[in-house]
Amino acid sequence: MAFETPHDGSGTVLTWKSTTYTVTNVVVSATDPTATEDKINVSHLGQTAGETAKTLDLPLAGAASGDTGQTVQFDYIGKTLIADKETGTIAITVGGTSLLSRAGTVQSSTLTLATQDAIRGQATIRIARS
Amino acid sequence: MATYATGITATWNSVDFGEVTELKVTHGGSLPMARASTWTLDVGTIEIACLTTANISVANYGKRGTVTIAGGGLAYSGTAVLEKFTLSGVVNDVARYAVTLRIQG
Repeated sequence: MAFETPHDGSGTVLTWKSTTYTVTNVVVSATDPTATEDKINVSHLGQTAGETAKTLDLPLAGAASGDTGQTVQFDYIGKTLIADKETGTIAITVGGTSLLSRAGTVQSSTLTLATQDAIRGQATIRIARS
Repeated sequence: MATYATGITATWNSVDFGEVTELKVTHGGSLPMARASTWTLDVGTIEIACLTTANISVANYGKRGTVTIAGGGLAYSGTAVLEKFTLSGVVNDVARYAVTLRIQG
């Protein structure tokens, strides 16, 4: 995947479960679900100024949450209601080049109907780690 | 200029408290009484929280010893009795210990 820099995002096509959505905004997020900043602070008064604060790892490991740490959130125009827990494949291409194509599960979705506006939806898909 | 609370040692009955995380000396708990200008029923307490168990056991309960606190802008020396100790454990944390020493006049 190589894109000209800068790229303005036009020509982006998003497909979820073989349906192409009229997207207005796409956010692809990736975080390490196993990363943790939690430590036990065991610094004490016997340490000297400038010394590194002492910490210990937590004795218990975190329970597996099923979180892959990777999501695609997109806003779209249309009256399709995306149901939660749906599974399928999400594919994004930018200017004809594939950005990603992964299996995913709907984490959350909303559909907004408002006066003087188009029907707009938003969905967050939790995607499998590549 | 403020002084860092670092490099502090706390000793009671000739044994160092290990990995002291909090220390509080309160000298004086009641007003001086009678003719002596300094005699009082309650001289005060020393509270020490730490992460290792030196000097904290049932065997030390009620014992009298010399207490010395030094370093980090703190200096205290006197005699005190081990009045109370607390051992605590919480899930996903280290064991923690605390003692209260009653200062003797």
